[in-house]
Amino acid sequence: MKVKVHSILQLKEILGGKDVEIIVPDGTNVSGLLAGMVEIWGDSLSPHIFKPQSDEVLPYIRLMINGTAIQSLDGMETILNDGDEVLLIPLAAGG
Amino acid sequence: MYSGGYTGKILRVNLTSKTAQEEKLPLAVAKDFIGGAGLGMKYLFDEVKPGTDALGPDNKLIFAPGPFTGTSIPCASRMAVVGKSPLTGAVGNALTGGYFPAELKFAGWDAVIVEGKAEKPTWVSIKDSSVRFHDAGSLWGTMTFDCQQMIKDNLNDQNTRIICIGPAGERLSKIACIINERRAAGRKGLGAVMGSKNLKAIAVRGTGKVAITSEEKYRAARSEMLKAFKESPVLYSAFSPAGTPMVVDLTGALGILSAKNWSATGEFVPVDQLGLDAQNTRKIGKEHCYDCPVGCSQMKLAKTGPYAGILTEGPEFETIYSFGTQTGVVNLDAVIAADRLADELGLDSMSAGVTIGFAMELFERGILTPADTGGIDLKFGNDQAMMMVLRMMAFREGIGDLLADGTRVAAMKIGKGSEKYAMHIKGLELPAYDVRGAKAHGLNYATAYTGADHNRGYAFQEIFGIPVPWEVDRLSIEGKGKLTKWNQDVRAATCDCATMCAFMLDTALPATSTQNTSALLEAVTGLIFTPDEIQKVGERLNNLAKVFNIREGFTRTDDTFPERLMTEPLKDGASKGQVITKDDLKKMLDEYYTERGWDTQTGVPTRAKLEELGLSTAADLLGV
Repeated sequence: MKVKVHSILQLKEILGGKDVEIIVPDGTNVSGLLAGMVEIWGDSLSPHIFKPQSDEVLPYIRLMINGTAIQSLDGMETILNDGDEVLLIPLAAGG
Repeated sequence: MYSGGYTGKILRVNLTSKTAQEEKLPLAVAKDFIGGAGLGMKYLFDEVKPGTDALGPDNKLIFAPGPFTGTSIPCASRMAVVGKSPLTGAVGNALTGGYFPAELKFAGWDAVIVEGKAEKPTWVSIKDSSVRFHDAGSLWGTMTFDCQQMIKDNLNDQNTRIICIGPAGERLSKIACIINERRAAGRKGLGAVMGSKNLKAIAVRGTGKVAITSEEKYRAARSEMLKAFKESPVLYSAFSPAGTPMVVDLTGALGILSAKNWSATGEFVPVDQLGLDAQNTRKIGKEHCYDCPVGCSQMKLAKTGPYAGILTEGPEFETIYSFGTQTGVVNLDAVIAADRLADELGLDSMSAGVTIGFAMELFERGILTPADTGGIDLKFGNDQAMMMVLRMMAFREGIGDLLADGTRVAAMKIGKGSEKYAMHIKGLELPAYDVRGAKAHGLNYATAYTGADHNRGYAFQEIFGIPVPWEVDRLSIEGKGKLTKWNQDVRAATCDCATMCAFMLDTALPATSTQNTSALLEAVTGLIFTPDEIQKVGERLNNLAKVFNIREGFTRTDDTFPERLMTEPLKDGASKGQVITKDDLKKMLDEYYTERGWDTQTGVPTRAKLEELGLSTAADLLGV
């Protein structure tokens, strides 16, 4: 199935565009999606998402599925569906 | 009496009598309100009677930096300007940075209180303890940048710091601002208060320095703060080079970047044209406020069409919204030009853009016609129409006169159901965040004592996802009353009173801002506050401001939203389907008032709460 990852700022630069489509197996959860993305983008992406030498997501990285924060779903275990839009948002400031 | 931070002196300038008087800053005021907006609120409450005409001689303007201003604490050259707002009728409070606040402290003043009305246009110069009144006849009518240069030339001192008004303030536009270099004390129409007093400008020059009580504690506290700056995951790495425009991208992704008078949020998302990447194509440099190591202000140069060659400091995120997404204008060079023009005219770029967007929706709906606009095709997206109307607003020409006092007044004059599209709360035009997708941010808009003001209680938990003091769901209404009280009280104390740039606290010190303020206050002033007592200062300010507003006739019914936010769910984007119903608002308000210790039926502070905060006199005046 396909999911769309929408990112901004430095994450957008790393992924090469604000919207990228990623093909993942049916039943993939958020954790699996991020692991798959690290396989594609490697070390250029990993330190911007995960704590050093860890698969724990940095505390200020936000993940949302169709606008809803994963904390309000099943967290990293949230199962993705075909066509989902995943927001991958780094910390910003200002306003 | 004061060993550091404070000069202990207030300057009272009476324009009617052309006199200037030095007064002592009571220690109790410093202890209860710290400085800045708190100090201003205290004097406004005590000296401006209920029902005072905001544009009459009995209103006052208090210019108040804080005890950190003028020290080498980074990002502390901030100053509150406080008076009764002609736009809202409530407390008006606008903060500004740059160099003027520090210079005022170097001149020896903790605050300047301006009262009365000059017989004819006047400007005032302050050099240390010397105050002079000047005829502003030749300055009246000038744009703000020229005005400042003319004063510098007059004084033969290019380092004099100046605040002034432009044509909008002279014509008493209720959305006129006060300009300070290329920055602004922007909101609530305080520029019109200066205009009503025939006060064109204040120039200040100081030769003193701000004392520090304990150099050892000061070095330690300052180092701790700078360490937090360095450790911030965003401050130097992203915010310094990008500034506030990055929030265009963020709010666009979250589906809360308000567009076309809040009718198309989530549908019309011109991030490619107005977001950070586009902004960087116009960036030619950056600016710093006094003693700021970050320098978030981005200098931009318009490059195309009739706007080519126009330079501005900005536009900041809020102005990209007001002259961009709100009006449907996606020509970045037009937004740059509008930002510069608004500053030159002395118009609040936020309220001005929102008001033009409001007029555009009325025009598209046929409520305003070409006969009303003088033939201007005032459709969404027409940048040249926007520029024309912006100028006309400042000079009160044609359709500009109708719009010069903001959306609420314009809707009252226009009628025909236009109030439904007037995006304001208590008369103050809405900031950029579409709060249907950020509920605590919305509750702050509804309850802030200055009207729809994101700066009174910014919900960085919802906007940036910072889990301090706890993690929240931006789309839920649960717990948002408690969170909003925390946001409003902490920000009031640490940013508005101390005074300190809010961007630094949000990006580097969200979890330790009260501890930071406490440590710095002890080091600089010798006054001891626990972090809880710091927060209590903010609560005291918010309560006193609430009582001021109640005395002006505000009730619970004023803590509300424009109808659109409560009846029209967002149609697309990452916040699709979100709305804040009247029932949602009622639930959030009930929780908020309960957390504040206010009567949930009326929203009036209880005597017990006011006495707890040492505000029994306010309770007496309120009759509770």
